Amino acid sequence: MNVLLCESTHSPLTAVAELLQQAPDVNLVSIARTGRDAINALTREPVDVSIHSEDTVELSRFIRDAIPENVSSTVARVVASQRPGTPLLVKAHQFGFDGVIAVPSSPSALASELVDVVSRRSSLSEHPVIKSLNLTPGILTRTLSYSNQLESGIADLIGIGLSDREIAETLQLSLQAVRNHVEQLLQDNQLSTRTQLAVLHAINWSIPDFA
Amino acid sequence: MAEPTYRLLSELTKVEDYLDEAVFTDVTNEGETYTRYRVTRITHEVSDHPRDWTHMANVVPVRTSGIGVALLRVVNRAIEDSEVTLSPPQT
Repeated sequence: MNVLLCESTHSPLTAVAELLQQAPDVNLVSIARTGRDAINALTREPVDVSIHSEDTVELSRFIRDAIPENVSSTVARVVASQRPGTPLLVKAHQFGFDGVIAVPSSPSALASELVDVVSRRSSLSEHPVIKSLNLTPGILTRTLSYSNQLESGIADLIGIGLSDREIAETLQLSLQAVRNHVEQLLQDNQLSTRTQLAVLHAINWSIPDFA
Repeated sequence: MAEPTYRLLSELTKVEDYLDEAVFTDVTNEGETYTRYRVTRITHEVSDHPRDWTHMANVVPVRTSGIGVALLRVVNRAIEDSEVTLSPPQT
Protein backbone atom coordinates (compact mmCIF):
# COMPACT_ATOMS: atom_id res chain seq x y z
CA MET A 1 0.00 0.00 0.00
CA ASN A 2 1.42 3.37 -1.06
CA VAL A 3 0.94 6.07 1.53
CA LEU A 4 1.42 9.83 1.28
CA LEU A 5 1.81 11.81 4.47
CA CYS A 6 0.54 15.42 4.41
CA GLU A 7 1.62 17.45 7.40
CA SER A 8 2.27 21.05 8.26
CA THR A 9 5.44 22.32 9.83
CA HIS A 10 3.32 23.32 12.83
CA SER A 11 2.01 19.84 13.48
CA PRO A 12 4.33 17.23 11.97
CA LEU A 13 3.12 13.65 12.01
CA THR A 14 6.48 12.37 13.20
CA ALA A 15 5.07 9.43 15.14
CA VAL A 16 2.97 8.36 12.17
CA ALA A 17 5.95 8.62 9.81
CA GLU A 18 8.02 6.40 12.09
CA LEU A 19 5.25 3.83 12.31
CA LEU A 20 4.74 3.88 8.53
CA GLN A 21 8.41 3.14 7.93
CA GLN A 22 8.09 -0.01 10.03
CA ALA A 23 4.57 -1.05 9.04
CA PRO A 24 4.19 -4.26 7.03
CA ASP A 25 3.17 -3.92 3.36
CA VAL A 26 3.27 -0.13 3.56
CA ASN A 27 5.39 2.10 1.36
CA LEU A 28 5.75 5.70 2.53
CA VAL A 29 5.84 7.46 -0.83
CA SER A 30 6.56 10.96 0.42
CA ILE A 31 6.09 13.42 3.24
CA ALA A 32 4.42 16.56 1.87
CA ARG A 33 4.64 19.77 3.85
CA THR A 34 2.98 22.04 1.26
CA GLY A 35 0.08 21.64 -1.11
CA ARG A 36 2.52 21.69 -4.04
CA ASP A 37 4.52 18.83 -2.49
CA ALA A 38 1.33 16.79 -2.16
CA ILE A 39 0.19 17.49 -5.72
CA ASN A 40 3.59 16.53 -7.10
CA ALA A 41 3.64 13.28 -5.14
CA LEU A 42 0.09 12.35 -6.16
CA THR A 43 0.71 12.95 -9.84
CA ARG A 44 4.15 11.31 -9.83
CA GLU A 45 3.24 7.86 -8.58
CA PRO A 46 0.24 5.80 -7.43
CA VAL A 47 -0.98 6.57 -3.91
CA ASP A 48 -3.56 4.44 -2.10
CA VAL A 49 -3.95 6.54 1.03
CA SER A 50 -3.06 10.08 2.00
CA ILE A 51 -2.79 10.70 5.73
CA HIS A 52 -3.36 14.29 6.83
CA SER A 53 -2.62 16.19 9.98
CA GLU A 54 -5.58 18.07 11.45
CA ASP A 55 -4.49 21.43 10.11
CA THR A 56 -4.20 20.23 6.52
CA VAL A 57 -7.83 19.12 6.27
CA GLU A 58 -8.98 22.32 4.54
CA LEU A 59 -5.97 22.25 2.22
CA SER A 60 -6.94 18.77 1.05
CA ARG A 61 -9.76 20.20 -1.06
CA PHE A 62 -7.33 22.41 -2.93
CA ILE A 63 -5.06 19.41 -3.49
CA ARG A 64 -7.97 17.28 -4.65
CA ASP A 65 -9.12 19.91 -7.13
CA ALA A 66 -5.60 20.32 -8.52
CA ILE A 67 -5.04 16.69 -9.52
CA PRO A 68 -6.81 14.70 -12.24
CA GLU A 69 -10.12 13.19 -11.10
CA ASN A 70 -9.05 9.67 -12.04
CA VAL A 71 -6.18 10.07 -9.59
CA SER A 72 -8.12 11.77 -6.77
CA SER A 73 -10.95 9.26 -6.91
CA THR A 74 -8.59 6.37 -6.16
CA VAL A 75 -6.91 7.94 -3.14
CA ALA A 76 -8.47 7.31 0.25
CA ARG A 77 -7.97 10.20 2.64
CA VAL A 78 -7.70 9.95 6.38
CA VAL A 79 -6.92 12.37 9.19
CA ALA A 80 -4.53 11.24 11.89
CA SER A 81 -4.81 12.78 15.34
CA GLN A 82 -3.60 11.95 18.82
CA ARG A 83 -7.10 12.57 20.17
CA PRO A 84 -9.74 12.61 17.44
CA GLY A 85 -12.86 14.24 18.88
CA THR A 86 -16.30 15.01 17.52
CA PRO A 87 -15.35 18.35 15.87
CA LEU A 88 -12.59 16.64 13.90
CA LEU A 89 -14.89 13.78 12.91
CA VAL A 90 -17.47 16.23 11.61
CA LYS A 91 -14.88 18.36 9.87
CA ALA A 92 -13.27 15.37 8.17
CA HIS A 93 -16.66 14.13 7.03
CA GLN A 94 -17.59 17.52 5.66
CA PHE A 95 -14.38 17.73 3.69
CA GLY A 96 -14.98 14.31 2.15
CA PHE A 97 -12.45 12.28 4.10
CA ASP A 98 -12.83 8.54 4.33
CA GLY A 99 -11.71 8.11 7.89
CA VAL A 100 -10.25 9.55 11.07
CA ILE A 101 -7.69 7.50 12.95
CA ALA A 102 -6.14 7.89 16.37
CA VAL A 103 -2.38 7.48 16.05
CA PRO A 104 -1.90 3.81 16.95
CA SER A 105 0.80 2.40 19.15
CA SER A 106 2.29 -0.10 16.69
CA PRO A 107 3.17 -0.24 12.98
CA SER A 108 0.98 -3.28 12.43
CA ALA A 109 -2.00 -1.57 14.06
CA LEU A 110 -1.54 1.42 11.76
CA ALA A 111 -1.31 -0.82 8.69
CA SER A 112 -4.45 -2.60 9.80
CA GLU A 113 -6.34 0.68 10.26
CA LEU A 114 -5.30 1.89 6.82
CA VAL A 115 -6.43 -1.35 5.19
CA ASP A 116 -9.73 -0.93 7.00
CA VAL A 117 -10.21 2.60 5.70
CA VAL A 118 -9.25 1.69 2.13
CA SER A 119 -11.62 -1.24 2.03
CA ARG A 120 -14.57 0.63 3.64
CA ARG A 121 -14.51 4.00 1.94
CA SER A 122 -17.80 5.21 3.40
CA SER A 123 -17.05 4.29 6.99
CA LEU A 124 -16.99 7.89 8.20
CA SER A 125 -20.56 8.43 7.00
CA GLU A 126 -21.57 5.43 9.09
CA HIS A 127 -20.05 6.83 12.27
CA PRO A 128 -22.75 7.27 14.96
CA VAL A 129 -21.83 10.93 15.53
CA ILE A 130 -22.17 11.76 11.84
CA LYS A 131 -25.41 9.82 11.56
CA SER A 132 -26.90 11.50 14.62
CA LEU A 133 -26.19 14.96 13.19
CA ASN A 134 -27.90 14.02 9.93
CA LEU A 135 -25.12 15.67 7.96
CA THR A 136 -24.53 15.43 4.27
CA PRO A 137 -20.93 15.97 3.10
CA GLY A 138 -20.11 19.57 2.36
CA ILE A 139 -23.14 21.16 4.00
CA LEU A 140 -21.00 22.77 6.68
CA THR A 141 -18.07 23.76 4.47
CA ARG A 142 -19.36 27.25 3.96
CA THR A 143 -20.16 30.32 6.00
CA LEU A 144 -23.59 31.19 7.27
CA SER A 145 -25.53 33.82 5.41
CA TYR A 146 -27.80 36.21 7.28
CA SER A 147 -30.69 38.33 6.09
CA ASN A 148 -29.98 41.02 8.63
CA GLN A 149 -28.00 42.00 11.72
CA LEU A 150 -30.61 40.58 14.08
CA GLU A 151 -30.32 37.10 12.56
CA SER A 152 -26.55 37.34 12.84
CA GLY A 153 -26.98 38.14 16.54
CA ILE A 154 -29.36 35.24 17.03
CA ALA A 155 -26.90 32.89 15.32
CA ASP A 156 -24.18 34.17 17.68
CA LEU A 157 -26.30 33.27 20.68
CA ILE A 158 -27.21 29.86 19.26
CA GLY A 159 -23.49 29.29 18.68
CA ILE A 160 -22.72 29.82 22.34
CA GLY A 161 -25.44 27.44 23.38
CA LEU A 162 -28.42 29.57 24.46
CA SER A 163 -31.95 28.20 24.15
CA ASP A 164 -34.58 30.07 22.14
CA ARG A 165 -36.16 31.28 25.38
CA GLU A 166 -32.82 32.59 26.66
CA ILE A 167 -32.21 34.31 23.33
CA ALA A 168 -35.64 35.91 23.53
CA GLU A 169 -34.87 37.24 27.01
CA THR A 170 -31.42 38.45 25.97
CA LEU A 171 -32.63 40.28 22.88
CA GLN A 172 -35.95 41.41 24.35
CA LEU A 173 -37.92 39.56 21.71
CA SER A 174 -40.89 37.22 21.94
CA LEU A 175 -40.17 33.50 21.85
CA GLN A 176 -42.10 33.26 18.59
CA ALA A 177 -40.03 36.01 17.02
CA VAL A 178 -36.85 34.09 17.86
CA ARG A 179 -38.29 30.86 16.50
CA ASN A 180 -39.34 32.60 13.30
CA HIS A 181 -35.81 33.95 12.84
CA VAL A 182 -34.23 30.54 13.53
CA GLU A 183 -36.55 28.94 11.01
CA GLN A 184 -35.59 31.60 8.48
CA LEU A 185 -31.88 31.04 9.16
CA LEU A 186 -32.28 27.29 8.65
CA GLN A 187 -34.25 27.86 5.46
CA ASP A 188 -31.81 30.41 4.00
CA ASN A 189 -28.82 28.18 4.72
CA GLN A 190 -30.49 24.94 3.63
CA LEU A 191 -29.98 23.36 7.03
CA SER A 192 -32.41 20.95 8.63
CA THR A 193 -31.66 21.17 12.35
CA ARG A 194 -30.76 23.76 14.96
CA THR A 195 -27.63 21.80 15.89
CA GLN A 196 -26.37 22.06 12.32
CA LEU A 197 -26.81 25.81 12.58
CA ALA A 198 -24.92 25.93 15.89
CA VAL A 199 -22.08 23.78 14.54
CA LEU A 200 -21.79 25.77 11.34
CA HIS A 201 -21.73 29.04 13.22
CA ALA A 202 -19.23 27.82 15.80
CA ILE A 203 -16.68 26.43 13.39
CA ASN A 204 -16.94 29.06 10.66
CA TRP A 205 -15.32 26.82 8.09
CA SER A 206 -14.84 29.14 5.19
CA ILE A 207 -13.06 27.62 2.23
CA PRO A 208 -9.97 29.61 1.28
CA ASP A 209 -10.11 31.00 -2.23
CA PHE A 210 -7.09 29.57 -3.95
CA ALA A 211 -8.00 31.05 -7.30
CA MET B 1 -57.95 18.98 38.47
CA ALA B 2 -60.71 20.14 36.13
CA GLU B 3 -61.06 18.49 32.76
CA PRO B 4 -60.11 20.70 29.81
CA THR B 5 -63.04 22.20 28.00
CA TYR B 6 -63.22 23.13 24.32
CA ARG B 7 -65.66 25.83 23.26
CA LEU B 8 -66.43 25.77 19.55
CA LEU B 9 -66.13 29.20 17.96
CA SER B 10 -68.29 30.59 15.23
CA GLU B 11 -67.09 30.08 11.67
CA LEU B 12 -67.37 33.84 11.33
CA THR B 13 -64.52 34.26 13.82
CA LYS B 14 -61.50 35.82 12.17
CA VAL B 15 -57.90 34.93 12.97
CA GLU B 16 -57.14 38.59 13.55
CA ASP B 17 -59.73 38.66 16.31
CA TYR B 18 -57.28 36.60 18.38
CA LEU B 19 -53.82 37.04 16.87
CA ASP B 20 -51.68 39.93 15.67
CA GLU B 21 -49.63 37.53 13.54
CA ALA B 22 -51.08 34.39 11.97
CA VAL B 23 -47.70 32.88 11.02
CA PHE B 24 -45.79 31.01 13.70
CA THR B 25 -42.98 28.50 13.99
CA ASP B 26 -43.53 25.14 15.63
CA VAL B 27 -40.51 23.38 17.11
CA THR B 28 -40.33 19.59 17.25
CA ASN B 29 -37.80 16.77 17.42
CA GLU B 30 -36.40 17.84 20.80
CA GLY B 31 -35.86 21.40 19.69
CA GLU B 32 -34.12 20.54 16.42
CA THR B 33 -36.74 20.94 13.71
CA TYR B 34 -38.42 24.28 12.94
CA THR B 35 -41.55 24.38 10.80
CA ARG B 36 -43.47 27.50 9.89
CA TYR B 37 -47.28 27.42 9.81
CA ARG B 38 -50.09 29.83 9.12
CA VAL B 39 -53.25 29.79 11.20
CA THR B 40 -56.20 29.63 8.83
CA ARG B 41 -58.94 29.50 11.44
CA ILE B 42 -59.26 29.52 15.20
CA THR B 43 -61.79 26.77 15.91
CA HIS B 44 -61.97 26.44 19.69
CA GLU B 45 -61.19 28.24 22.90
CA VAL B 46 -59.62 25.87 25.40
CA SER B 47 -59.89 26.15 29.16
CA ASP B 48 -58.32 24.29 32.07
CA HIS B 49 -55.86 22.38 29.92
CA PRO B 50 -52.99 20.86 31.94
CA ARG B 51 -50.51 22.19 29.39
CA ASP B 52 -52.10 25.64 29.35
CA TRP B 53 -53.24 25.49 25.74
CA THR B 54 -55.71 28.29 25.17
CA HIS B 55 -56.92 27.75 21.60
CA MET B 56 -57.26 25.14 18.92
CA ALA B 57 -56.81 26.10 15.28
CA ASN B 58 -56.58 24.87 11.73
CA VAL B 59 -53.12 25.43 10.27
CA VAL B 60 -51.26 24.95 6.98
CA PRO B 61 -47.48 24.64 6.54
CA VAL B 62 -46.03 27.76 4.91
CA ARG B 63 -43.23 26.08 2.94
CA THR B 64 -44.87 22.78 2.04
CA SER B 65 -48.35 21.51 1.33
CA GLY B 66 -50.57 19.98 3.98
CA ILE B 67 -53.17 20.73 6.59
CA GLY B 68 -53.23 20.25 10.31
CA VAL B 69 -54.63 21.07 13.70
CA ALA B 70 -52.72 23.04 16.30
CA LEU B 71 -53.09 23.49 20.00
CA LEU B 72 -51.91 26.99 20.81
CA ARG B 73 -50.94 28.97 23.87
CA VAL B 74 -51.96 32.52 23.02
CA VAL B 75 -50.71 35.27 25.33
CA ASN B 76 -51.25 38.95 24.58
CA ARG B 77 -52.50 38.13 21.07
CA ALA B 78 -49.27 36.25 20.23
CA ILE B 79 -48.66 32.52 19.95
CA GLU B 80 -46.30 31.58 22.74
CA ASP B 81 -46.19 27.84 22.12
CA SER B 82 -47.81 25.27 19.88
CA GLU B 83 -48.32 21.61 19.20
CA VAL B 84 -49.21 20.76 15.62
CA THR B 85 -50.68 17.54 14.33
CA LEU B 86 -50.58 17.31 10.54
CA SER B 87 -53.19 15.26 8.73
CA PRO B 88 -51.77 12.42 6.64
CA PRO B 89 -51.73 13.15 2.88
CA GLN B 90 -54.93 12.16 1.08
CA THR B 91 -54.48 9.44 -1.55
